[in-house]
Parts: sequence; C-alpha cells; structure tokens
Amino acid sequence: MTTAVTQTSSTEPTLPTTFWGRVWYRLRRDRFAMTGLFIVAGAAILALLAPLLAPYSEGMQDPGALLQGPSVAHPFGTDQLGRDLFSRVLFGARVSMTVALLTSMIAVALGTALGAVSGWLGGRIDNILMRIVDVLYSFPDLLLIIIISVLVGQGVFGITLSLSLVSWVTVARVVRGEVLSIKQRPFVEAARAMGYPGSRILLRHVLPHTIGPVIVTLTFRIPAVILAESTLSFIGLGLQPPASSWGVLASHGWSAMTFYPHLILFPSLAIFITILGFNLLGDGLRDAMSK
Amino acid sequence: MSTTMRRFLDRISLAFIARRLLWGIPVLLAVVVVSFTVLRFAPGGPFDREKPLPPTIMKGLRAQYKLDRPILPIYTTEAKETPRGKELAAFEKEYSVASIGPVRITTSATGAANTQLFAYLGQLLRGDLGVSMKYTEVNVNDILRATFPVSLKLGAVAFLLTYGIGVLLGVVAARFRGTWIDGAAMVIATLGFSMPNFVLGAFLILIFSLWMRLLPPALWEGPAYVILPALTLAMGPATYVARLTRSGVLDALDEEYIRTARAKGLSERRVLLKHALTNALGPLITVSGPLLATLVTGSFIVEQVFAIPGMGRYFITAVIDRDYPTVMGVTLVYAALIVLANIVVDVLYAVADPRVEE
Repeated sequence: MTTAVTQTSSTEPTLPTTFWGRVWYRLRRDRFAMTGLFIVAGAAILALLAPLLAPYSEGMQDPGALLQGPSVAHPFGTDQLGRDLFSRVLFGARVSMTVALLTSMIAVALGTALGAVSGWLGGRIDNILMRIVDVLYSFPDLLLIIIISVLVGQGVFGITLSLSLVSWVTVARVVRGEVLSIKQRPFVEAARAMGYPGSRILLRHVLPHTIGPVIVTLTFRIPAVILAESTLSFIGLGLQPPASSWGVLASHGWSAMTFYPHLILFPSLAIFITILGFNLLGDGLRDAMSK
Repeated sequence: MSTTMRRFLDRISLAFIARRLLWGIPVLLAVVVVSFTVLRFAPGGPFDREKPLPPTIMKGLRAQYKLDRPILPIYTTEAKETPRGKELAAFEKEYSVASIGPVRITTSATGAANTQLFAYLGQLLRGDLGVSMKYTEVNVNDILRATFPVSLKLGAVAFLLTYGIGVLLGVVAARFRGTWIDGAAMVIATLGFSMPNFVLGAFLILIFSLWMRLLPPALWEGPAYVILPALTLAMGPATYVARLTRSGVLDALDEEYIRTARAKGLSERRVLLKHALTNALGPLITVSGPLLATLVTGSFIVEQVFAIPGMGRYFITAVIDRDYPTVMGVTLVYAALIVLANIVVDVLYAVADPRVEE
C-alpha cells in the first residue's frame, strides 16, 4: 500500500495529498532518515541473500586458516575453528533479524489488541490492564526476560517468546493513549449515532487512526529487541549455540578479545550499525508523521 | 534559600506520598509472585549435577529446602482426592469456573501455608531472604549486603555521569544551534543511543586498557576501576538526556522571557544555564525514573563485562545455577529500587507542578 502511494506521489511537485504521500515526501528530505532507511534495507537484503552472498558456508571450517585477521580471502578474518567471520556475520543477520522482526510483530499485535480494548472499553478491564502494566514496568525488563526464558527455553522460539511477553507493554500504552484521544473525536460520535456496534467502530474507525504511532513504535521496537537479544546472548543467557546471532558471535569474540580483537569488532559493528539504522529511520518517521 | 525550601516542603503532600508508597506494596508482591512462580516451574534445579546425586541425598536436600512441597496454593491432584476437593471440582465443572486463584481452591489454611510460595512470603515478612542453594553456608541477605554497595556505587557514579555528560552536551548543542558543533553533538548522541553496553564496554577496554594501558580492564579494586564501567553504563542514557536538554533549551530560547533576560543585560551563560535550562528540567526529572531502570538493567551486563562483584553478576550465575533464593533476592531489590525511584519522580514532579497531584 505504502509503495503504491509513494510512487504516484513522488512525481508530483506539490505537497502530496495523501497521508502516506506526505510522510514519504518529508522522509525523503531528511538525510538522517534516508541513511537509516538505506542501512535497514541493506541489512534486510544481506540477511535475505546471505546464502548467495556469503563466500563460505556457515559452518565450513578451514584448519589451515585459524584465527586469521582480516584479509582478502576472509574480509572479517576467521575464528578459532577456521570459520569465515564475514559469512558467519551474514548468517547471523538472519538469526538476529528473525528474532527481532518476529518479536516486534507479536509485541505490536498483542500490544495493539490489548491497548485498544483497554482504551476503548475503559472501566474495570482498563484498570486491570493498567495494573499489569504497572507491575511489568517495575520489573527490570532484562531480568524478567531472563526469568521467562529460563522457563520457556533458550532457542530461537523461547527467546522470541520471552522477549515478546515483555515488549508488548510499551505498544499497549501507546495504543491505549491514542484510542483514548480518538474516542473523543466527532466522527466516532457520528458512527455511534449511525448505530454501528462498538466493535465495528473500534476496528474500522478508531484503529486505522493509530497506524502512524504504531509504525513508529514498531520501528523503535525492532532495535530495542536486537539490543536485548544480543545482550542476552552476549552474557550467555540468550540464544545458545549452534544458533549464532550477532550477540552469540560477539560473545565468542569476547573471550579472545585481547589477542584477536577482530572477532568481537565485526559482530559488534553489525549490531551497532543495524540498531543505528532503525533508530535514525524511527526518528525520521516520527518527525514526518507528527508534522 | 530557606523560603524556597519551605515552599518546597509545603508543596509535598504526605497523603500523596503515602498513597504512592502503599501502592508499591501490591506491585512488589506481584513481582515476587510472578518471578517465583516462573522460576520454580522452569526446568532444572539447584542440585542438578552432571553426575546426578544419589536419590536419597537428593530427596533429603529437596526436603531440607522445601522443594518437595507444592509450589503454588492451587488445585493439586492430592486435593482432588479429598472429599472437599471432589466437591469443589464438581462445583467448578458445573459453573465452569477456572481453577486458578489461591483463595477458593486450597483445601485448608495449613495446606496453603505448606506451599513453597507461602513459605517464601512468610520468610520475606520476617525480612529473611533465605539461604543460597549454591553457597549453602551463606544467607542471601549477606550476599546482598556484600554486593549491593558495589552495584550502588557503580550506579550512582553512572547516574551522575549520565546527567553531567547529557546536560553538558545538550546545552552546548543548543548554544551553537545549527553549527557544526550542534551537528557533532547530535551525531554523538545518536551514535551513543544505538550502542549496546557490551559493545561500548568492549571498545573502551580495547582502547583504554589493552592499547593505551591507561585504565584497568576489569575487577573492582579502587577508584580507577570505576571509570570505564561507569562510562559504559552512562553513555546510552546520557545521549538521551542530551537530546532532551537540547530540545528543552531550544524551546526556551524562543520564549519572550529569555529576550527579557537578555535585555536586562544578563550574560549569555547566565541566560542559558539559569533561565533556559530551567525549562528543560521537567522532562529531565520525568525520565530519571526510567533512566534509573535502564541503569539497573545495564548494570548486569556491565558488571559481567568488567567482572565486577556486584548484584547483577551474582544474578547471572544464580540464574544458571537455579539458585532460587539469590535470584529472588536480587529481583526483589532491583524491583524495589525501581518502584522507589518512580515514587520519588512522581513526588518531585508533583512539587514542580502542583496540578499533577490527583
């Protein structure tokens, strides 16, 4: 939907008339946001095409090239088993991005549903939900994620689940706030006057108006999840090998940092640049939508 | 000064503080119940060994630490077999009541008191966090007494650094709005905001410890050992503070009272630091609560990266060892800290803006 609008709008010299057209128009003029978009798109493409782009297969070991520094054959060097770090970082992107995207989407779905219902119905349900949110906000989030992941397991599934169970809270808060304010708008009253049932008004009239803030929240959720997952994996409480996200790779590099700094440098840079890209894009989107 | 102080005290409503403090109790109770339950149902136990312990010894250990008791006061299979349990089961089936919730379902008060959860809660009421299941000679209270000051010191230095660096960066950026200095400050802010703690920590160790050999890379033996970890911990939050300060000061600079202050002939420094910065104070107070939570969370990683003997590091090993009492103790202390910080923020906020109350 977005792309269709953007293509038509980009040819128009005046300010586009549709909401998404205007957002894209402003976004394109924001250098930082476009840098962010470029990084995000690049990371996504690298992750998707990892099997084609990686010079070596993920687990291929070369006993003749152990712990080598960066070279033409191995741009990021090799690890203690002679595995090519560049290829491992490319494949690691798939793991990190999968966890981040899945978690963010679950969190947004869950948060939107709960936040919308809570804000729309108000009263007791709203009260209960907000108390739950209070409790979750009093938990240091990483600590709660660790405790939950101990219960549900530390594979890709378990980590995704435990991250999701914690990160819906922010989304729910945002959506609830939006719904509370949209509820007061005249068109909602009009819809009520038409005799539409509440569920229809919420789904067809109120929720579509929350899409902007939800997308901004999603854009900021993804880097937050990449950060949380890589941090957990780094301290050894997140994904367990053989699953090798960027955090797992950095964790391996940590133990040999004194003599082979390249092992921690490149996975760390991958994490950092990707998070940076999402944050830049999120900043730009927020500005473009709020004007 | 004294009138300001009195005005400050006048504005603090004791009822407001009491209400907020009271609300903290159920929140903490919920935190304890949730983490206790999740933890106990997790696979593995504190006495799992690569070579399993003999069954009789295992049984004795489990009995000693009450691990053989039911975890929660919910409907257990034993309860179902009692006459009352059968009656209750029939009732629930007929009216399709969910059989969770401690009150209705336990067969008797002694049955509830016999569960692990209630035993732990009773213990907590007496101020006893229990004996560690890993270091079986040591009480968790003592572990926390030894490790909390370390974490507190690290956190306090990081908190000061956060606001020091953040406000400085923000004010400088605002002062030189639109110039390359502003640009550079904001680029630093964006970079710092996206840098995970462990990445920054690793880079700082590489640069300052391994290459330049200026500062110790790990451990906790003197003032020099605080610098790198505190910096690592503070950098992310500081960049956030910098952004807030910059936008707050910039907003103020467009206001008329700033023009008045300048017209009075006040120095630019005074206008910036006294008049404009005050405008940024509200948001800075508001975020101090969440920032403290960020520092708390970050301290796990930083303590692990720099091998600092604080609470966070104990937490990580305790989770791996399934040392339940230690995990619970650290969780409780951190949660209490966050609850308390949020109350302080609310009160400060109410003082700064009396309309907030109620």
